[in-house]
Amino acid sequence: MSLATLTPASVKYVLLDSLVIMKIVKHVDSELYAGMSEVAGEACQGLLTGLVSMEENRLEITNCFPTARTEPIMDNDESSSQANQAYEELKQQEMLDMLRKFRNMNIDYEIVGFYQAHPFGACFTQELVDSMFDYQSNGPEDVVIVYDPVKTRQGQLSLRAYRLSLPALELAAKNDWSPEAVKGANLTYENMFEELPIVIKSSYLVNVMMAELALAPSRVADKRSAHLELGTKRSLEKSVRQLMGNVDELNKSISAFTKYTGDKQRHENVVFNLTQKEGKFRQQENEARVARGEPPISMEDIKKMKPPMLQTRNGMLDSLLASCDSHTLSDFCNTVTGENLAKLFLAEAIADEKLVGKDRALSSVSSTR
Amino acid sequence: MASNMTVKVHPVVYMTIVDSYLRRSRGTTKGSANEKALGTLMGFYEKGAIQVTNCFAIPFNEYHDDLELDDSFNQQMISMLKRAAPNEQPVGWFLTSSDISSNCLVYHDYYVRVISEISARKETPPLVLLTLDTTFSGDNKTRMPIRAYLRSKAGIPGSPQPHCAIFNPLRVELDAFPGECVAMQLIENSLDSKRREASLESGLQQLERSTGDIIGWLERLLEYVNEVVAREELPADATMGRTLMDIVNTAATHMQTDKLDALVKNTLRDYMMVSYLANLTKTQLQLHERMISM
Repeated sequence: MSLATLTPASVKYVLLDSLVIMKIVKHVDSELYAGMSEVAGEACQGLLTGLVSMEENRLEITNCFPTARTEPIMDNDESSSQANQAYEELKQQEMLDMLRKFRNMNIDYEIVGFYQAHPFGACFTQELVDSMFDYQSNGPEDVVIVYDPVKTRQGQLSLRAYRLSLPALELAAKNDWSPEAVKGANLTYENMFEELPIVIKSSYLVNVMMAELALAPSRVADKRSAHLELGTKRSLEKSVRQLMGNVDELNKSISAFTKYTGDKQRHENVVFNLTQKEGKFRQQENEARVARGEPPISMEDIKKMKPPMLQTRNGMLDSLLASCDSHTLSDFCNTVTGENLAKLFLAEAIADEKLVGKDRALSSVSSTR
Repeated sequence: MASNMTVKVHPVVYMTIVDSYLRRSRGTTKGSANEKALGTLMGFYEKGAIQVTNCFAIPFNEYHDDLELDDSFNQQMISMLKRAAPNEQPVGWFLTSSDISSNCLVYHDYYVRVISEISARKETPPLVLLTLDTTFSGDNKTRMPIRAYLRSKAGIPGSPQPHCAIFNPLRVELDAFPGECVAMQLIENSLDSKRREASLESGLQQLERSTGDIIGWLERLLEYVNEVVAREELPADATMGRTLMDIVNTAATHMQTDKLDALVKNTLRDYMMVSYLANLTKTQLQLHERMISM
């Protein structure tokens, strides 16, 4: 992949059709209902289609479709890798078929990214970076929509749109995540992913239909107070546990980094000393040699000394991703605890009011007697 | 035939129908304009109910009595959706028109064939026709009626062939998974906005809004009660009184004070701790970042 194909994205926000939201939510929820996946519905993925509106700097996502459930093949034999490849090809074929059908039905058929369900929205993995890179090098405006089923079940729809920032894209293109490259690109966990604001849009007719549905009596109305639920402790517990895992991961990569900086310092010292000591000596020697008309001794052997390597698989990528994940998780914990505290205080206030009310009722009863 | 069945339709189905109606093909060749959308409903059967959880539109053509349907399109879509959600199967079809013409019989026959091919059982499961009048052609111009039908054959007893078919209306209900409810609630916000837009709101905003709502409703209730009390004769509406009594009862018994106290005491500290830890992690992250970039 040449660097020339990487163009900076110009889209400022994402316009999400309400149909897309319903489809994503339905995809995850029906899997849960059928008991096919864990609470979080991690397996749910799909592709987003829509169009880019350049004049208004926005990305319109107007439809989406789920990709077939992946059937992971565990063994790494020759035959299974072949089967995997055949499966990938089939998947590709199906995707093209679906797009053709979309075109047939006058639906926008340009792929503008993909969606993924992930608990707590902590989705940052190497696979995500890889597939983001694939998408963004083909369509510079492509985004990933991360849907958090846990938060949604608690009564608050949670969708986020992300894309890789330009420096991160460049590093991914070179596949070079060494500390120097990361530092050179000025990449931190905060600017690795760009989050785009999401605006939800519904058509006139959808609005009419929502109004119609709101008029009809149904049991659905009873389920609407999910966000007032006080007992959200279990999910909080889970997120804290996940946070702990991430912090461990981060610790590992930090210690690797510290070791690396130590090694590097030592190496630099050695090189420096050598060039200082040996250099002076060799310089004199060389001057003498030049005077005698002999070829000078080169300094190459010193420069050729091998610099130390960072002892992780992907260089700084792991540490960056772990940082992103822990940041999101701690954000989640923070907001949830904040909301729960507010709810608790609310409940307390109501209880106090109830006591006062009871007293008043009692006193009024006694006064009438 | 079980005509006491309920059709439980999920919101995503309505949205897809409306979207496919908006994207219906305008007639390119003369007279072939379909001012309708038609498609397949996907879902599953429950005891006494049919859950319709998904649907898609298919290309079709209707010119006087010439009816065309893209069968291969339909079959491929069904198999593709089945792979994405294995528990769903075709349960019927939809049409965005409220009048059921004789063409519907032909379509219905086609769908009966499709379903009997797919389902392994001998007798075909009941097949639903869902209509959504997107053209507001009904008596009430301001409503968008949603109806569901089940076809049953009728005729003179004893004759080998049934003479006619009747589309029996079924009860339609809106059903939604918990997540879908939440999403619907948010999308409903776009009703109030001029640009038909809604934005995601944070938990505290939501909390504030629903608290405001509750206060508003309580005030309205209070007003109503005061008005009724001020009246001379007894109120005629006893059900209202019972509902009010229910509300008061739940409010009094739902959250006992000692229980709440225990809850507050136990969880408050936990929350504080988690929040503290989360903040600590964030600070640590930022420090780490500075260290690396130094």
